Amino acid sequence: MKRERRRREVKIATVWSARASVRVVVSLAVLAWTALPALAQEQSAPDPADSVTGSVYRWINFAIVFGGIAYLIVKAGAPYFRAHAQSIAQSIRQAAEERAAAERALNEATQKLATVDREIQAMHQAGVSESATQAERIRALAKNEVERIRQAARAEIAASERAAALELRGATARLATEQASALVRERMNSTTEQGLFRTFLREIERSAA
Amino acid sequence: MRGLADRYADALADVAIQQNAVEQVRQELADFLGLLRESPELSLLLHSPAVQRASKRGVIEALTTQMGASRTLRNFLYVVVDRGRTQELPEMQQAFDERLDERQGIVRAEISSAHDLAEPEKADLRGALERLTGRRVEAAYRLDPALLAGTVVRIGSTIYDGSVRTQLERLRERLASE
Repeated sequence: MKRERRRREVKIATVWSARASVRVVVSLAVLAWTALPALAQEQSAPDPADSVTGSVYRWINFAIVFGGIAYLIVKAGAPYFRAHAQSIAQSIRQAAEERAAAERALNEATQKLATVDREIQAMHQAGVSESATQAERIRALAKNEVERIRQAARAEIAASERAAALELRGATARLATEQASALVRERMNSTTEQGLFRTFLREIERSAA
Repeated sequence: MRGLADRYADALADVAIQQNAVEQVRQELADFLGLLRESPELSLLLHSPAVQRASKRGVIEALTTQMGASRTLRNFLYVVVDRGRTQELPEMQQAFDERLDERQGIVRAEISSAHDLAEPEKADLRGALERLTGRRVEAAYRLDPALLAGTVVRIGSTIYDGSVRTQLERLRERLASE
């Protein structure tokens, strides 16, 4: 990946250098073309400069001027173009990185999107299962509660029955003893009283013995 | 607190027996306590820590003289007042009676009956109780119609119950619990 990027950068720099050279050549051609009318006027009058020697010198002069201009262009333009090329390469690299990141994000999103259905399905199943468990638990709790209430009611009824029976027995016993007391009062006489006293005395004697 | 009353009662019983004045001291102590019960002012004066000891002694001196009480009781009351124990005098009296009875071999019985007991019956019952306790019985008789019939004897904390009321009560409890 890195090597590919490097190769791309070198290729971009080469392309830019070639373009710069083309621009230089085009500039020189335009310069030469603009100089042609002046050359045509000079041809109308014979001039020593039109001689072969003059032509040679003119070409030499042209070559010197051309070389100077070319030197200046190459000297001053190369760093500019190189920096410009590097800046563009940097932007391209950054763009490539951003694109790669975007592609990665896209891939992840795509993958997630692909698993969303499964996750939704799993969540749905988990929800259904949880709901069933919860319902079962609530049913069990309700059943226990009903059983507990039923037992409490039974116990309460039994306790009430026992209390009522006890109360009834108590009331019966109280009535019986009240009637017995009334009978004792009614039928008690000195003979019975003496008999009771003698019985009590015998019990005391028995305790003493 | 009863232990303290016992100690004072023991001391008074020792002196009373030594001087052969048991019944006299018993009666004098009972009379003095009767006075205390009847006169809240006297009770307050003897109980109050604000009243000087000498003043209390003077009051006791005047009272015992007026009652014609023995020196034994007067000196006993002096000691009680000096120690600030007049509040415990009722307990001391009870303990004193118990000590005297104990030393004289006497046991006191409270006998309740639904009808008056004839003298032969009382004698028979007292004899039976003396054989039961092994001591001479001083009986106090009381009429209680609520017993319906029969007799109840109480000696100290022990009760001998031959009443019809109690038998009917037991019968009622048995019927109610079955």
